[in-house]
Amino acid sequence: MSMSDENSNPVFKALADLASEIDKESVTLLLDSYKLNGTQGITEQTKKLVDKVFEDETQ
Amino acid sequence: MKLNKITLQAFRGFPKKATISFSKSVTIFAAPNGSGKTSISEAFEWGMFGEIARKDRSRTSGEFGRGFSFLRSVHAEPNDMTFVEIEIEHSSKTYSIRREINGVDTKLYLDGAEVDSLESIGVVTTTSTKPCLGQSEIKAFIDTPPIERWEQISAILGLHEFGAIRSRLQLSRNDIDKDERVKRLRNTVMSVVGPFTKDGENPLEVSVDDLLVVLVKKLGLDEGSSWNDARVRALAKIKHLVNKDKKPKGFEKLENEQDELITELLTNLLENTLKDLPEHRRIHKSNEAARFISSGVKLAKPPKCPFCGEDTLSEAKLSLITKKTQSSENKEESDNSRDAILREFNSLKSSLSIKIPEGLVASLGDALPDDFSEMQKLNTLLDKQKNLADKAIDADVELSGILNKLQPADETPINEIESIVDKFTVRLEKLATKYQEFWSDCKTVKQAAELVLSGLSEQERSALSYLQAIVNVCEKSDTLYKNEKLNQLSSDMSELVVKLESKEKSLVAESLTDLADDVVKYYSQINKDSTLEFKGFQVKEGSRRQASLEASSYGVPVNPTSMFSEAQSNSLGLSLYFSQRIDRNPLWETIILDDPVQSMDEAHKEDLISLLGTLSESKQIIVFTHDKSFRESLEHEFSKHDDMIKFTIFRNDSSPVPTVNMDKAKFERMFEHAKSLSRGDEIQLENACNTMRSSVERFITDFSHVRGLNPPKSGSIEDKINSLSTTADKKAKLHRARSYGTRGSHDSSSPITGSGIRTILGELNTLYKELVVDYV
Repeated sequence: MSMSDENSNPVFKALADLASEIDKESVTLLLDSYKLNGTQGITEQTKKLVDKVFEDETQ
Repeated sequence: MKLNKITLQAFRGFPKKATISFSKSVTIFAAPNGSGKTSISEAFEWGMFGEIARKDRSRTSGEFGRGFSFLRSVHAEPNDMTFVEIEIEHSSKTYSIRREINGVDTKLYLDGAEVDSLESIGVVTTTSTKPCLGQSEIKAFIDTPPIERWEQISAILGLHEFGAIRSRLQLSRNDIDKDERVKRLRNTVMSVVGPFTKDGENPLEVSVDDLLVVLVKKLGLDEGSSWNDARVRALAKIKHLVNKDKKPKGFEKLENEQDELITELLTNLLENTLKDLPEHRRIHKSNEAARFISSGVKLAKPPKCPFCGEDTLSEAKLSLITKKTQSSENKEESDNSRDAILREFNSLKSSLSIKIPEGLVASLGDALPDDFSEMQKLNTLLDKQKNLADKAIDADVELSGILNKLQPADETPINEIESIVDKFTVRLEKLATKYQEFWSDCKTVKQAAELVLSGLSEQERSALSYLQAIVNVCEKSDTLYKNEKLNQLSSDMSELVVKLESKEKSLVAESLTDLADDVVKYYSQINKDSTLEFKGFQVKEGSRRQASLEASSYGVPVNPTSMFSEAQSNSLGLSLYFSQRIDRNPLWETIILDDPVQSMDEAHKEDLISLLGTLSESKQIIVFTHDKSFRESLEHEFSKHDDMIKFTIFRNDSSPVPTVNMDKAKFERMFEHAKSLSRGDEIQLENACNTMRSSVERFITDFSHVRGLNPPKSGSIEDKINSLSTTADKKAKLHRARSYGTRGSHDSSSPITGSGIRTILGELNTLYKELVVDYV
């Protein structure tokens, strides 16, 4: 049994509900990143999302 | 998950390897202070969770040293590694966990394989999931500031991650603002969108599509037109407004080929034509005379002139000569000669033709230089035209000079040439006049251009500025959309933060009520007869949440922090422990309590034992205590468990015992030395005495601790020393301490005793009374 399991971690369950409620790609990515890598995942995913905006510039 | 066995080595009070097995039901460690109970409890905590609450909660955690070096026994053999091995049982499986000190880090093994964590078996390192409650933790909850208390409750409820997520989202959102690319992008957006915003409106927040709709409408374009459509229309309007591209026809040619025109004029006029004119005339004339003389009328085909290509003796001339020969009449010779010379000149002038670009002058009035560099070019051009006209006049003068030098033998052709040259001169003069007119026109154009550039009306200037702003924003439309995407990302993150907070609040409200109910339930079980009732938690919102405790006394609200006794605080800490780490911790089926009774009276102890008795039906109970009556009651309560284990001696007898060595003679020498150094300076002597006094007090504390005594916490040192006198009661305590298996560290043969230092302290106290009136 892992506390990272959505069934046993009330925060993860709440995050899943929020992702469904807000239903935006960025929110889903941020929350998924948190589940994988904790708060560091949020930092990294934010940077990726910003990079993506500027990558479009070169395409 | 239950605890089977712990093996520890070189760990705190266990310098050598020792193994302790636990009962599946109840295990009681009963021994006096300093026996190593907490060492076992902390061995479990460190081995399983890699941290020690006692250190984490300490206000002087920095003095614990680096890493976990403080856990190593100071009496361990140098080559003995510090480690803890724990055997646990979970779902009918047995797991072996080993943690050892490795420099400032630790190494963790699960069933012999090195691992980073124990998450694979569900163990995570959070305080709220530890099944053990250390001495330092029991009262911590009530002694904690409201903000930290909220953080603990949040962790207890398993909701503390919400705060961490919100905080990180806010920080990451700030990171977007700090990104240099974003800063540059926003500067651009501010610059190009600014002209289209109203006062108070943030250009960074303007909707890109809405802005396009506004601009398209302003430009009179069809609905749905693109940014590029808008740009093209704006540029067209600018051109229309300033006539930017209107230049006179031939302007470029005239500008670029000016030097060639001048060269052509002078070369043909002075070098090629006028230079050969005398020779040209001589050929025709001499040929006429020679041929006439030698051939007369029989001359049929005269040679061609190398200059004009005409017959050196024209048909007309031949006819005239023939006729003159035949009739001796020559009255039309002059006319025929004039025609020939005219033809000759026509031939010459064909090479003198200067073509002025068609429509040049006529269209100059429409010329509108687009900037001041164009104006500069126009000025240069004007200078060149003036120079050209001047050179044409100079050429005319020079031509007249050449003609004047000619000494014709026959006046007639010369006169004719002069006449033609006069006409050519007139042509040159006309050309010069045209250039003068051109020059004048250019000046007019210049004035018109200046008028256009400087004479725009305010409305036209505003329109021009607005159109240019449209062009700018159209050319940066991609940047606007990027800004909008970044805004959307920030907005999404903000929305997430708000909804997280809302979600957390609803979960907290729901969970906190349940938790409070459980804590109240346990608290009432441990404090059956208490007049103080614990009511629950009050959460206060603010920049940081706070949790205060609620209680009442006979229905009157009271503040638990100030009203609860030590025992009531203990009870509250235990209630919280049972509510969270036992009831809300499904992984563990174990209760580990280190000295849980502390300041409790007998009634509270009995209540706690009764509660543990109930819990032991489903949980493994492990209790550490130095309290005799509590131990006896525990043993009685759990006597129904056949497999109960009681430990009274659990440390290797060969272990060194704590000792406090203080040399009386040395102490006296120190005092004399301090007096000597002070040389009568009272402040220095006071400082030295204070230092010595601290040493003595430390000695008293250590001495008391080892002997299981309880000296007064206040009063003079003499009082404290006196309390250490080996009275019958103290001897009895020492006897009890030894009965638990620990070896008394001090007895009457210690190097220095209370009576031994009393004399010195007498002197010290006398001195203090003189120096420090209110010293305590």
